[in-house]
Amino acid sequence: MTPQGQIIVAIGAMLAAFWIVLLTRKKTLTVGYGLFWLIMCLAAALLAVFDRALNFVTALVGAIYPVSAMTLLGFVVIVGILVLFSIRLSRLHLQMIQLTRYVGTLEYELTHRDRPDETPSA
Amino acid sequence: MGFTIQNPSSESSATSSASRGSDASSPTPARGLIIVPAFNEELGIADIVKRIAESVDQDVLFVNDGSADRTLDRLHEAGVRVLSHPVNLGYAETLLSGIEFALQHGYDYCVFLDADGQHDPKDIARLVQTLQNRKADVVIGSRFLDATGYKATVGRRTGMVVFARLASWITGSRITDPTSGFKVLSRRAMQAVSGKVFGDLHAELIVLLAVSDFVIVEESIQVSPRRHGSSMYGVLAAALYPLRTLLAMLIAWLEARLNRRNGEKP
Repeated sequence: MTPQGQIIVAIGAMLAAFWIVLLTRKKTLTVGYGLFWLIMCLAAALLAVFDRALNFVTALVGAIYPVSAMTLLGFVVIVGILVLFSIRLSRLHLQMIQLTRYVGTLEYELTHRDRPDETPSA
Repeated sequence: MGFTIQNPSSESSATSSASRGSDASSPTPARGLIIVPAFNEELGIADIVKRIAESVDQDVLFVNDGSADRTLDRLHEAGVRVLSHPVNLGYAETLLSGIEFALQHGYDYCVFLDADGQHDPKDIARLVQTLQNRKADVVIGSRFLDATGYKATVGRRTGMVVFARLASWITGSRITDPTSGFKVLSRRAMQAVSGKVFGDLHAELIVLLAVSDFVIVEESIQVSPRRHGSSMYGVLAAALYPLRTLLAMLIAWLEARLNRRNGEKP
């Protein structure tokens, strides 16, 4: 990677890290997600600054150029995150269904608590 | 209503008898609940309330699925029992809410009836009678068992035929209308599907129960054209329906097979 590229990636990672900290402070991001993205920023900055580490990773993944290795790593991280988010969203969806059903049932019970003997006839 | 279920299944019968403390050898009057899922049906909901009341003397539960229009107000005005979702959960989850209600309140069977006015409430008695007489767990109101003249678009009809063939092949028995929304489920079947995740409780429901040795029969019904509102399937949902149902059928089949191997009921 050229020195120019190293500087751009390192500065970009630092700015991103700063933004993540701000979002976490405002509670727009939870601490767990904030920590994850900070680790990603740190990893990108370290790989950009330390040539030997990036060259090692490049050889490890079988890439020819260090930039290609970084792109591949970024792609893997993004796919992993998408799968993780799909799992989290599915779980939230199921929890939302349970809560909605619970609220509906509670509302029904409250509405009909004075009429326990009534059957739900039309 | 005077329907009785004579030993539809050992578990169902035991539940019915236990709940009433009656002699297990005598036929137990079965309590049924008509479950009507309603989403944005303000124009036609009063009509279906009236038609049900005129057709059957049976408990009814309307499940309002977070309608954005005045469906809930119309139901309250009609004085019927309503279980209301604060947000829209979808067709299958609405039916599952009805099933949970039926199980909690000790019903022996439930009837699914769509709120769009296409199903005739007068058919309910015949479907429930079939559940009783044939000792079935599920009775499907089929639009294609007899030549009823039901018309659908080419794409929809093709999908129905494909899923009917597929469901018949997987279950080993002839299923003509796996996408019908008009069904009767015994308590045993309700317990089996409760808490499960489905697509639309259509073909996947049949696969899950049939592979698990539940008795599924069909009874011919006639349907009317939709009187008000529009289909719950938008363009995207209609396009994805076959894929969603195929995946749901595969999962249902896998679950049923694994349960069978482990000697468990779903």
